[in-house]
Amino acid sequence: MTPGTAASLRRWTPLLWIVPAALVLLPFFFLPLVLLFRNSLNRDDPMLLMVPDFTAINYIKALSDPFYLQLFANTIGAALFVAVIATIIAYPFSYFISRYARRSIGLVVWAVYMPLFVSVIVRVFGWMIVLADSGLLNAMLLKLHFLQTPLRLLFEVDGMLIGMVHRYLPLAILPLFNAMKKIPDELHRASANLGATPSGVIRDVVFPLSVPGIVISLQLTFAGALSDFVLPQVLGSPRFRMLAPAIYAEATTNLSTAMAATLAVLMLVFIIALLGASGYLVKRLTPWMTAR
Amino acid sequence: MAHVLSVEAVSKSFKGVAAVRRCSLELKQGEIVALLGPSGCGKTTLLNMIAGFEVPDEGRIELGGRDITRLPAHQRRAGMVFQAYALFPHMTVRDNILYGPRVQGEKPGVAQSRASEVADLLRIGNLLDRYPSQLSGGQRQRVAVARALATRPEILLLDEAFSALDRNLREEMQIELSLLLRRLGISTILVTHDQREAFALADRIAVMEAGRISQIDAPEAVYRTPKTPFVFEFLGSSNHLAATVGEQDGTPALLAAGGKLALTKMPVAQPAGSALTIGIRAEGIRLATAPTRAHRESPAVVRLVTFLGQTIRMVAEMGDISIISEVAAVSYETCPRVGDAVFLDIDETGVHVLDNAVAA
Repeated sequence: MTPGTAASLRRWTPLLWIVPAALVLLPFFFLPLVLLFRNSLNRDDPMLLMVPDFTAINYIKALSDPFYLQLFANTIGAALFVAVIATIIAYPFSYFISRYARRSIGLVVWAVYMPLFVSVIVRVFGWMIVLADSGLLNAMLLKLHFLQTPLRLLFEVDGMLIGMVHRYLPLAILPLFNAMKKIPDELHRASANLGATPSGVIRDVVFPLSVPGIVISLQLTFAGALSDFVLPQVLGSPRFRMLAPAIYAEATTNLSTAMAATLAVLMLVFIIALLGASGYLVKRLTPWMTAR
Repeated sequence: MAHVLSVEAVSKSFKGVAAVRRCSLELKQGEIVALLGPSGCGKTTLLNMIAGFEVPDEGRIELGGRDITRLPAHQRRAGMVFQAYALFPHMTVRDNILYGPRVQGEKPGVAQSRASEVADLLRIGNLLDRYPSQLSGGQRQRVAVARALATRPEILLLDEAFSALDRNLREEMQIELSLLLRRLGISTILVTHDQREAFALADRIAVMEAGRISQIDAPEAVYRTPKTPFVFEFLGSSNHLAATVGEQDGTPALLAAGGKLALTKMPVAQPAGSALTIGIRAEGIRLATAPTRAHRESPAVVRLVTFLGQTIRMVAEMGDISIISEVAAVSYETCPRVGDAVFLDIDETGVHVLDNAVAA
């Protein structure tokens, strides 16, 4: 072997590390994605089911038909709501544990992670017990005379949103907690030393330095809620349709495979665009991180 | 004249462990005092109580005539330079400097003129638009000092502020800052474990041990007339020898190294036969080729000669005792070599009785 080929071999050997991942991802993820995109260009036919074609008709329909537009509006609205509420709930909690839960921090982080290990189905049934007309929450509120008639939460948008906020809260807490615990104690002290009140320290130091965490928190919860299937299906209302169950219905009930593929591609494009946009947003909001 | 800062019998413990025990300290206007001691001696805790990051368990702290013992940190006028500088990474140098005047409610014009004033003083006018990540260690330190001075503090607190710098840069900055603080007349407390830093900057040095201030004095006084064995041991490099009170040629003497060394000029209070530990600084011992007054027979053998730039350090062995001697480097050509037989010439004014017990 000549020295030249040995050197070029050495240059390629690091790529061996990604071979196992590539072996799984290429045939089982990337290839189906390509097929999905190809299917979205086909045509659905009531008699012949999916007809091979090369048309944008499904995209035009998905982006102009009021039925589909309502679907997107519902989904994006619900996902936005979940992302913002989960992040708002997570922010003070993350601040608290990053600053004050020094010795119990392992336990607290474990408690935050814990629900992620419990099957989402189990958690959904838990919420059904809590939210039902005769459930825990209503029983309590009725007993305390806060209500005369039970609140209808289950099988409504309300119940679905509550379940989603709960489901995605850990994904909001962890990036925020991570961002905040990286802020050195000395910066808090420096800010106070220069005359900032405790709330000034949060406004001037903690908040700007946690912006990357906020963006990741919004991103994860938004993407999660946007593509959620189980919660809209089990806790939600048939009058408030969400994208993921709708794709399932297109493919199974309506046998419109091409339309289902189209909606799936649109969801994917939307999430990719969102990730790109938030990456750009972080860069703009945190110029100090990339300054050289 | 009134004191800028007075710390009165302040104590602090953490979970029952005393960090600072009844420390008192007064600082005159424009004075620079160093809190010097090993890590864990309580110097940083004392500084944190002055800055307001810790509340003393007992005692009282006054700054500019006002009791600040329990005042929150943000209401004190004590500018701190942190060990890792603690510059705000998300703000440019300009915004870092403007931050203090801004949160203290100064008008934008006042804040701006303060910022350009301190930027000139610290010679960082060309760095104002950079982020801290774009600065070198020395530049960061300048910014940290400028930021602290921009609030016009009554006192400046330096917490190991030079320890992150390379040695040459550190000494340059020490000289520059020392000149600047004196020119501006800024009262300063610096915390350090580095005696060179304390000597380089301070008018007075408070040597701390186990939460207490062992001695507070001018630099030459703490070095030459240490009041406790700890102060002696902590400053400079020193030799410890077991000695007994005896006599030589009819005069009372301290006999060390099994009687081979006799110190006759020491005032000895203890009765004959008492066992003591004596300390002699390395620069208080010269190695001579001929017998000396203190060392008449059975010479020591030179084992190590180290050239240190300004000084030469030699290690000689006398039986099982190692003696360290440090002399000016100008004598390098004429100093003993490894293997030479030498006699110890001891400057007895620098000998300290450390302990009434035998050295371990």
